[in-house]
Amino acid sequence: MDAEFENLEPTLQNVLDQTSLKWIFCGGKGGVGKTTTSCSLAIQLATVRESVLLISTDPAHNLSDAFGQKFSKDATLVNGFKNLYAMEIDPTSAIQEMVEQSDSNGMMGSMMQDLAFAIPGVDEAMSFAEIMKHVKSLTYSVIVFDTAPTGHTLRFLSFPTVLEKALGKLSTLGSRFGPMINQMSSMMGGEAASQEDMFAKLESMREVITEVNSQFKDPEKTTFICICISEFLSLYETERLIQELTSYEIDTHNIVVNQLLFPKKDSNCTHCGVRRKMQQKYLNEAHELYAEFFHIIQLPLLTEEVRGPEKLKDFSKMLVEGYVPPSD
Amino acid sequence: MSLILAIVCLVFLAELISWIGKSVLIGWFYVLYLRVFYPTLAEKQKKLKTDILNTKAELLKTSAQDQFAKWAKLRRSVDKGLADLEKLNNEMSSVKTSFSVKFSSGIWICTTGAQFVIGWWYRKAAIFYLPPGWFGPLAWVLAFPFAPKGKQMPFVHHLIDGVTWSSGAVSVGMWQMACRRVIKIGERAAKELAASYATMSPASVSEKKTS
Repeated sequence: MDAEFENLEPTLQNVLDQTSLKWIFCGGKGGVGKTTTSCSLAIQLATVRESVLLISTDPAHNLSDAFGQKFSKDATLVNGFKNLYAMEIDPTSAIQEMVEQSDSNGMMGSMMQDLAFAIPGVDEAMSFAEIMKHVKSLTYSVIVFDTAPTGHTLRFLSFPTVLEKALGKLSTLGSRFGPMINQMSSMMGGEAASQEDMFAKLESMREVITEVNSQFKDPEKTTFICICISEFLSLYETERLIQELTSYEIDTHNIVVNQLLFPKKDSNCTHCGVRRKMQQKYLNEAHELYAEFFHIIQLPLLTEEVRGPEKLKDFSKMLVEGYVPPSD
Repeated sequence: MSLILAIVCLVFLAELISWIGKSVLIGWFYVLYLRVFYPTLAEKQKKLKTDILNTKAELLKTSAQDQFAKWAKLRRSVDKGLADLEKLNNEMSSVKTSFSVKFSSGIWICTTGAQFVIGWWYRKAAIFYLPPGWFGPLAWVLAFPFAPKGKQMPFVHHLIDGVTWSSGAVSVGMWQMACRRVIKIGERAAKELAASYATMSPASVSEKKTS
């Protein structure tokens, strides 16, 4: 088709081969097939790696739909697999829980709560840190994130940097004003120990975030897979996504172009013909723009929904083998 | 004699600088300073600006839908250019701040500082002597602070009616003040003259036309 552009192989084999990878993010606009792709990727990874965890951070959880199995915020084995686990996390509920937990700490707890909501983004960042802490304690060889639609993803990924700065400031503040706060809280009848507790908590959170941050910036350990469809807005978002990822120093070298139409030659469907023409136009543009540095994986639009482990398994093969349009 | 002229020149210089305005002067000399010490920086900024404008114009001409690859590449280069420009601007503004600090302290030393130093150094000297008795008992004001008063008078005509008055010596400080006054008055007069000339000349021209 446009073989002259293809510098890198159009498969995700490179992700499977890179055994040092620990975190894999799948992201893109809503409705482009992120969940399907991340599930398929996780299935393929499960064949080569020891154990795989698939996490969805999208509040509209689709993992359950995709596998036809109910998942919760604890890792659950996916039916029909031996080493593939899945979990669904709601980022907003995590912070809720943490606040409720800290409520019992008395005055300092409420102060921490105020603090958490005073700095924009800190609540989400803290919930992210909680997730990270949780995930880090688990021993999986690779973790696939099925992230929320683009904007959300980027905010999520920029948190470590933002939060690290904020917490760094806070902890210096803590060591400076700690004694004063201590005195004040004891005067007002609070427990003196809780303040130290709070700063210890913040400090430990900062450590987790710093570590996660350094891991995310390591191309050996983390990669981001951009998923798009061959349309203008989707490509535009992908370009923005790639630019932002570059600015966060997060490695990305795979683009999955989903839902491509390959109508049969003898088909007389006008819609399909027109759409295919448009898709090919944007596909060519994408190749021109990204083919030098990215693996561009093309996936077809199927005539059926990709639901259930078996269909996902079939679909996932296309990620590594590459889809060959029916020759006629 | 040279002291008297030097002070006149110094005061004139100070007044000239305050008339032109320090910020204007900084602006002029900053351009010169950039040319001399950072010849590449200003040029780089200018080039970057024109580059960005050109690329932006091209970006506007390119259809994002029809030529996405080209459009995206142009956009990347615009974004990169803007980031570079920002960095360059920051660098230049820090250069400017340090320059303006240096320059204004230099100006201060050359004008106010020099006046102070000269005033202090020659505090006991008299610039010149007025004929005694011109200001009567107020002559000590002219000698303020330390110029020779009654006692070490070089002239002998100071004895009038048997009262020892001051010698009529004019101190450096007083001379500076007098010069400043005169220059200020001169400036005002020149301005008024120029203004009246400016308002008069179009009127006279129109009068000529009508007649």
